[in-house]
Amino acid sequence: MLEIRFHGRGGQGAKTASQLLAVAFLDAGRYPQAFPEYGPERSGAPMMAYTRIDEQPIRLHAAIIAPDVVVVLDPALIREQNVTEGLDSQGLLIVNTGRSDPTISLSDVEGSVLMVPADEIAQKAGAKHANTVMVGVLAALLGEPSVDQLVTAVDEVMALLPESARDHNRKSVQAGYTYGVSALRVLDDTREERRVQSGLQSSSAAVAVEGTPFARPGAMIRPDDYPVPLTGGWRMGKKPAVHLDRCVNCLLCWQFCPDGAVIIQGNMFLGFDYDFCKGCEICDAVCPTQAVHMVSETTKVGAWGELKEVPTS
Amino acid sequence: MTPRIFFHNPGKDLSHLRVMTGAQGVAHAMRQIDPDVFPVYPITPQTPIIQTLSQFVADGLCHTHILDVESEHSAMSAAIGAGLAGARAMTATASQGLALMVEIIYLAASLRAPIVIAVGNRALSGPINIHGDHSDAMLARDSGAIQIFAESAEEAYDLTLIATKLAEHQEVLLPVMVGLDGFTITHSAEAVDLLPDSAVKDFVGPYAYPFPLLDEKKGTYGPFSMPDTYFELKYQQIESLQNVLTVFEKVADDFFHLSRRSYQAVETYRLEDAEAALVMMGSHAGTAKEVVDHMRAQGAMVGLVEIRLFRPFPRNAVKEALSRISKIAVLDKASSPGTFPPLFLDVAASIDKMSKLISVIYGLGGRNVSVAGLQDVLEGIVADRFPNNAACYLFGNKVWHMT
Amino acid sequence: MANIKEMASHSQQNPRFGSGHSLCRGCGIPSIVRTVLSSIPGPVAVINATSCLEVATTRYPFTVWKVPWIHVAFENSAAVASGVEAAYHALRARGELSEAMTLVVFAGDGGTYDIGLQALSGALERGQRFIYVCYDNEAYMNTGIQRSSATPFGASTTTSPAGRAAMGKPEPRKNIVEIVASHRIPYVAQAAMSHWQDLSNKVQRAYHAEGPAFINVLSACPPGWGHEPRDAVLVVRLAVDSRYWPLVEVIEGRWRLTYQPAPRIPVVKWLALQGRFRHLFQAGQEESLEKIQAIIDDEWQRVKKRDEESASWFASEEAGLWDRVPSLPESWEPRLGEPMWEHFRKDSKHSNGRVSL
Repeated sequence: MLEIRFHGRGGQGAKTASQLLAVAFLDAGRYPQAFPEYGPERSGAPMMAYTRIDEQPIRLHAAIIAPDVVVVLDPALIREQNVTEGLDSQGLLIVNTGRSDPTISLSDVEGSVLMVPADEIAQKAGAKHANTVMVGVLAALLGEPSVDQLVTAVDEVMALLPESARDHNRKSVQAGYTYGVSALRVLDDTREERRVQSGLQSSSAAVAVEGTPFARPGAMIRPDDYPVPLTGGWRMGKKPAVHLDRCVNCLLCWQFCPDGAVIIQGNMFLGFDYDFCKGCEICDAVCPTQAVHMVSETTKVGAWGELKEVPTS
Repeated sequence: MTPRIFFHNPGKDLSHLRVMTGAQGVAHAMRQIDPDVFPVYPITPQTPIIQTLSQFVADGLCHTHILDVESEHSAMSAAIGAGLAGARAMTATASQGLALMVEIIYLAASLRAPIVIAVGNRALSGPINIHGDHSDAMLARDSGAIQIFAESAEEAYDLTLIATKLAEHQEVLLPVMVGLDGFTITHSAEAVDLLPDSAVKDFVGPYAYPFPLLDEKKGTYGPFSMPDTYFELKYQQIESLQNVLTVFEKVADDFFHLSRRSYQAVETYRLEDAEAALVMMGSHAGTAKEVVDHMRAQGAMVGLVEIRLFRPFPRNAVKEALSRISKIAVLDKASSPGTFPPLFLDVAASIDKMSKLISVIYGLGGRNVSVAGLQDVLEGIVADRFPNNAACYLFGNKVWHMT
Repeated sequence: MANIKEMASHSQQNPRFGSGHSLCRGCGIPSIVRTVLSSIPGPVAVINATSCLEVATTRYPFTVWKVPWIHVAFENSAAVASGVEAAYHALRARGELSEAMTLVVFAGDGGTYDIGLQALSGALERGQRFIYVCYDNEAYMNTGIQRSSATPFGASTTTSPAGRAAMGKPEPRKNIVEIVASHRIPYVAQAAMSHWQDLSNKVQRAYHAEGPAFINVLSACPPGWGHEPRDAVLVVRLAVDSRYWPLVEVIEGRWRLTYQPAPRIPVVKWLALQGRFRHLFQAGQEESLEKIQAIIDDEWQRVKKRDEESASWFASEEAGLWDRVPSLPESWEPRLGEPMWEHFRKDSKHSNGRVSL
């Protein structure tokens, strides 16, 4: 049994990727299973999706905790989720470098790692998300399903999308496959081989998961019971920044910010809290003086997003 | 002139007793407890409870805010809101009303809301039927609420007081359903010994919810739980229900000191040297005691086990009570189509498998439960008329079962 | 009436709704919740129906809420509030609560228009005092964009999808404000997330209402409506300016418009911004677009007529009492004079094709 775990954010197509792979694998003569793991979160929140492939019908209905392959659709997730959990030295980690963040470290990964500029590849193909690129790469690395089987699967899984979108995704899955084939040559030097056996993997049974007891009756929570979860990782490559000299302290950005990420003191605007900003751009949209600008995540700004120079564009 | 029919002995002094129905008994208990909030929706056969209590309020005898809500679902919802906010809340319902309420009873248990619910046990539709059986209570069997069944009007009164103290005990904090059989108790007038108002007030004490919503601490009640926490939270709730077995004993003991009336989770009647016994709960256990006496007088070695606390199920006490009984009939006033009825399954899971056990479903939809019928059950098991695990029905005076 | 700086000051002194929730990028709900909670002086307790707001703010063991907050189920928030209110009076009478407290219910359109309508109606009839805020994003967004009775005519949802044989939801939306107003409660209003000042004023009137108050607030939902998160405020604003969403209040049975959109903007401008109406712009759908405009014009005329009918009452001294609502304490100093909201609305040089606010 081959077990694959996708890490993505709501809206990045991790669930679609897991299903696409399943459909294509069926075409390749394997029994597939694909399922997402949902939370209360909405688009932008971290989530996981899984695909299992086997030579026999799959009876197992449990989360994948010891995957053979992990596919990460957004590198910022490495900070929010333990993406390498259960991955051993023979495992494979495929990461979309996307809007790459130089501070992200993958040094302690046990298996082989492949970084894929999937956002760029998807963009060239005209696709909105990198998910189909990553599926193409993965298929090339696994040797199956074939690129034709993937293309057919795109049409089936994305039947409700307009033809133009399907076309872009067909192209991106092909481009991903091509990238994967070339990467295979590099990877082959370093990669330990893993021959997938039929049926339950022994590693899946070995991982111990323990429950935790909770103290307060009735599931009641006090405001300071638990640290505030950071939501800054939800941003998709752009962050708000501000020219304080243009700001007139109208506080409209504060008023409309869904995430409480506008820092004010008294009635003065001070800047943005990147720990919580999800990058919705509402502050930019409502700013009456164009003091707020969306800039690339890598742009150097002050701690609270202060810009020193007026951008030309 | 000499009367043609007359009592042999002169009348006793019963001036301490009052004649009232079970519903009125419950209403008197509630008047004495004087809960802050009583959200309720009328339904037969619970209605006399709320009518009586409303009159008490109208006459200034208690200060309860009766909230006439638009459904039992809302009644339970409002009771939770009030109970968690820091006020004592109670409600009453039956049958379809309980069915509508069940969704929220689960939440009351999970939110640890100590709400007393008087249930005038009535059959579930369909066909629609307003008379007594236990099928409504069985809907809430797995809700996490405590369930107690009364045998008489006085018991309904007593158990409402006990339920209040039990629900609000700091180691419990769970909803308690007090079951009184529709019509056979709710509408039957019997002699009831009411305790003095002040004694009841002292017994239940003031409402002291340990972590009220409207305090300074700004708690979040009823959050969203994912697979990583739900199970443990549920475990905690399951454990809290187990505590009830010991707390019930304590509260019943306190009540005994007050009233000299004794209640146990499992009560036995003439079981010492019995060969055969009935296991049942509710009003018909009273009838069964008459039957047992009658048969004992004729030399039959029979007895009765009365389950008063149905949830949590007192497994060990049931096992202990039935340990020397070789022939047992479990009587359910409810069914569970496709399998054995609930009380039978609980008893079967509790006892040693050496005994011979049969299931008898009786009294559905208020069908009369006669002395002759219960006697036929006992005679039948004594005479080994039924195979082990027989599924029997007491439609009339004779046990019927598929052969 | 509270202005934005008073609300900012209030929310800094009394933080009530924090960060760290998992609502979508560009969600309209938090702005509504913050505006409501920072327009109410004194302590507040919140009753929440099952909804996006509930699941995304209280994932155990973390909570965003810094006020007493309770959720029981989906359909019963008005009933839970009724119980809390009854308990509140009991506690006050016993002297166990020293300060007066405002109860606020937050529920979505599904929890209000549909499954929660019975509980809401009962609580309104009993005159129970709380402010019920329906944040209306016009479908069951929490479960993945299914149609509710708040979904407008023509909108495509996952259960009223547009397809070759269907043009989205074939029925117009329910008018919840009229339904609630029929209960003759002291205060009923319709507001929009974009018009925060109007919303804040309405919350303050609701706060002073001696009995139940109900405010239906239009909220944007980027994934459900199919627009960019950044356009959330613009889309709601256009809903108001196109007269799709009249900002009204009903005080003691009298209706009035609290905002006069001018000049007239055709509704297609609003529709065109949203993916849920995309199918209506295909050839052959002209009739549907006309029908939407006709529904809006008809509703507008109805509201306008009521507004005119009550004009003299609103000018009377009796009605004037409603406007004498005390403001929040002033504890702020403007940094650069007073270039407030109104200023920017008049000053067109700043608009530059952006949201004109």
